[in-house]
Amino acid sequence: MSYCPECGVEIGNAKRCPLCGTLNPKACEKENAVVYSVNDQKNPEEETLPQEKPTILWEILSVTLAIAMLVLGAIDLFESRRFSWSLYAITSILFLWVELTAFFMLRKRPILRILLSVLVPPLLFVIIGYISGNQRWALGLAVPIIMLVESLGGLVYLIFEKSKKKGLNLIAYITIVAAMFCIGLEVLIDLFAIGMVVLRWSPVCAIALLSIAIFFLYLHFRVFKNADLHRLFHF
Amino acid sequence: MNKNRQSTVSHRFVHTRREDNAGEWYALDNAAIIMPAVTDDISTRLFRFEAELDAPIDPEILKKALALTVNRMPYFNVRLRRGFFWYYFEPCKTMPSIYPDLEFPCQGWNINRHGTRMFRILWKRNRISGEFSHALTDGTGGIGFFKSLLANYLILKGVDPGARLGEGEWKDIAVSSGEMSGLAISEEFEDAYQRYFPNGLPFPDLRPHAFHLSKSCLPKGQYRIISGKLLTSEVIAEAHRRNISLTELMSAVYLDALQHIWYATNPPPREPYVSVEIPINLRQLFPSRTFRNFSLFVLISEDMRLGMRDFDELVLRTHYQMKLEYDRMSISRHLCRNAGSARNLAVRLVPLRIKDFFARVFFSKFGESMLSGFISNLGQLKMPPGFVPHILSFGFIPAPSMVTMTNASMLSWGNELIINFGSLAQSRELEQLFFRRLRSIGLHVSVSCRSDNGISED
Repeated sequence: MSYCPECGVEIGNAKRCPLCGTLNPKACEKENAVVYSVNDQKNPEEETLPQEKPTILWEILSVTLAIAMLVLGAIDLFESRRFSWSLYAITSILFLWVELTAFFMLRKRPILRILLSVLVPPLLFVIIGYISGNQRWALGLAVPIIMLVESLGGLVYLIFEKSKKKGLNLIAYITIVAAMFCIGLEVLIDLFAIGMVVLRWSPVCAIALLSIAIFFLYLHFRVFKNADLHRLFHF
Repeated sequence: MNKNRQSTVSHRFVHTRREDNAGEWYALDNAAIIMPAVTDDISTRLFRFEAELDAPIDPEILKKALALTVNRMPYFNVRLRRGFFWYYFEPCKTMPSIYPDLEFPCQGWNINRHGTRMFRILWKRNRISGEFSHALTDGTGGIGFFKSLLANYLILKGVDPGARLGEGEWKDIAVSSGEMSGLAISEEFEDAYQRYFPNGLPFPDLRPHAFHLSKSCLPKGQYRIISGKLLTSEVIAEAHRRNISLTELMSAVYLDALQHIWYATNPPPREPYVSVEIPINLRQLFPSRTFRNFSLFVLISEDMRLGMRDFDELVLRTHYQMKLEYDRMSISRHLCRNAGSARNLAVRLVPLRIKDFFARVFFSKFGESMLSGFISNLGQLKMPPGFVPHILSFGFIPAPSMVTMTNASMLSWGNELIINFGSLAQSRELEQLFFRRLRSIGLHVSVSCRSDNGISED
């Protein structure tokens, strides 16, 4: 039996120790030991921060937003001796805070959470309209567009919930809803701007989107049921 | 009704075998889905089992044995294909070939190349080797296939197993006995992560980035294997003397070697933690007969900023960290995170190309970056009494990784504990410190490196 004089392990008939490269004393005459050294240096580094919990995160964001509102209000007051432009920013920040509260703090009260999330955006534009002294654009354009987006978002959610088999059909439904949004948007803009509906760009978008939707629906309901493409598109 | 819907959803995720007009195909299991994206020509994610027999291998009989094994376990004879949303396995129409063994294991076999099987069988003189991709199976699944192959080979050579295979103690040896049928068989390729998916648990805490060995690599295509042999009884006695398990003892030795390298590194490493990953076989906590992946890991870490720890202290700390992490509830948190993400509709609807990109990013940020290396213990291997005299030794070689560079795996056969270090690094410091520590605690170690003198077993 041959042993490496440095490592103390048995190395059989190998010419050198596989660990340190020392020549096998039984096979050769020279030694070529690699001496291992220990370096005791330490490198103190910063601790990584622990993951923040939602409540702490909400608190930090609230304080940050409050400071931002105070600073904006103070600067505005200092410059113009009254609240002017800062009201827009402060109102927006305030509504952002309500949305954040709904997101972080109302996880266990879903109805209130949804209600807040849905009502706050149109309300924001109504108030901004009030501040600006012109409610026309807010009530005539901004609020309807927001309500359109929210209704279509709700529709997508309902479709997702009702779909028994979820697949490419969901992408198709989203595409159809996007087409509806395009048309709705142009209708609302036309009504606000010229008082009548003259569809120009939205039908082009809708046709393109609907053709994609039809393709996905075809894949989902026809091809995947019977063809070999199932394996290719499984998800 | 809701319960029925949930059960249908679970069934869809658990059962990997599907059928369409072109025949059967398999979905990848939860651990496998990330593997193709992080596999390349060097980090092949292949691990190897080898068995040294008492007589030269007959390649013709080996081919027949392989065909029998693959017929019984067809879910192994597959190749990887890209879908639009996920990868999937397509059954190969031909029987797998056998290949002459190579100087460097687990290299030169990239599962992403079109038509490549997910495993390969090699032979040389008295040795049979099987290399399996982690996209296909884990150590327990791979050894099940490999033992079945050995059993078929020895039976064809006229050796009587001396026991009923496929039942009781030998239920992991699946020898060919007609058509596949019944629930027990479908369990063999189930996604057990999804079967035991625990919904609604908090995710496990993120671990800090760990120290990695230096990046001086061996030339491309080389993968150095240093093997150490010990007496199992001697190691177990030492572990019992310290009131710990064999795996814990070896992990502590590994950690000790890493902490010495950490302190020897100049300039000091940016990452203050050394971490050793210990893969665990989930079948011991969650009963399953699956031959697919069903393992997770426990991570043992030490903060080097606190100073170098005494070996005895390290042993105790490893033992207690292991006790804290290795229980059904803690493991369930990992299961919840891993299996849950694959169920998420938003994740499922993302095209594969984009998934691949994010898989690489996540694997690099939250995967191997958290560990300095792993030591995998397959435990005591058993074969039916009739086969034992014909099998001289077993070996288990870890999958190569460009991030951790050096990893270890071990198993016991008879009274021999075989530890194999697989390394892509030029330095042998980790192996040296590991085996020297074993010597210093009074264990008898025999070490060899097959690439130093060709294949040493020749």
